[in-house]
Amino acid sequence: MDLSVFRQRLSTLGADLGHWPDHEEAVALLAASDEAVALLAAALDEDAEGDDGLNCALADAVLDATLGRGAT
Amino acid sequence: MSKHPSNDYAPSASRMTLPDEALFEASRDGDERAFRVLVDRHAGVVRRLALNILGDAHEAEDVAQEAFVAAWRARTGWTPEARFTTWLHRITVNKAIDRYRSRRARPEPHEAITRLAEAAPAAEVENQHQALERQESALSLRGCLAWLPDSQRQALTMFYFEDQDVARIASALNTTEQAVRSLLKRGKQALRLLIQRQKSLAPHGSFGFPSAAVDAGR
Repeated sequence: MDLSVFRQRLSTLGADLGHWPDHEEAVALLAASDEAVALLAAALDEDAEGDDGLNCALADAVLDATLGRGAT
Repeated sequence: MSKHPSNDYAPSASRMTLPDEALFEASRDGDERAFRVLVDRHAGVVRRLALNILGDAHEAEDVAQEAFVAAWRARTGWTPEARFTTWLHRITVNKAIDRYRSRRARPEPHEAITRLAEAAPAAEVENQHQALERQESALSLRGCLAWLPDSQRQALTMFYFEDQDVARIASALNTTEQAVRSLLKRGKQALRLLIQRQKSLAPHGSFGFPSAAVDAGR
């Protein structure tokens, strides 16, 4: 898969790679291309709403693991 | 582990407006609140990146946490030549892909059993039932652990088979007690799922290890 196909899949199928028919190729491209990663991240950033509780729990766990203290 | 007052740790309004690179440089210089802003700002996309590659929410959270921890540990070697998010997202994607490929490299337990049955020579068809029973017996609790993500397997093995307490496991895995409890909880949930799957393939009830051990907590 090249970047143009990746971009097309993103616009037509959305950011859920599990629904792409060529999921494996997309993963391979992500492994090799920072640009593909940036495209996917940008798409996910646009979609990222309603996850505040999950994100807060994750942030707490991360901060506990890195800084070693509670994060609230 | 001591808890600091939350107001020591809360990000200030001025930090909230700083660009990522400035925040990471500040955190590299010891400003932990700057790192908190970065985590709050990017936790969602990092988690969703991992989720979209792995398709599993629990694994995605593990990967997201690992990515931030890796970024934190590598902070002193980071130079602001590239955007912080490019670097963080690359770490995340690499970790997610490693886990994805590792998971694909090993067959699901039920696939292994199916393969064993299909591989039996025709003359031994009548013995398939016994062969499956032997296979099921061989899939002990330790065997099921092999299907879990590394972090969960390590925590469960140390807790259940090496009789180590949470504090010692946290020390050995270089993480926190809270993180270990989370790994144990998720690991037990995954084990229950594996047991249920394998039981469904062994309706005669010959499954070879006591799921009650998992349900009992130890």
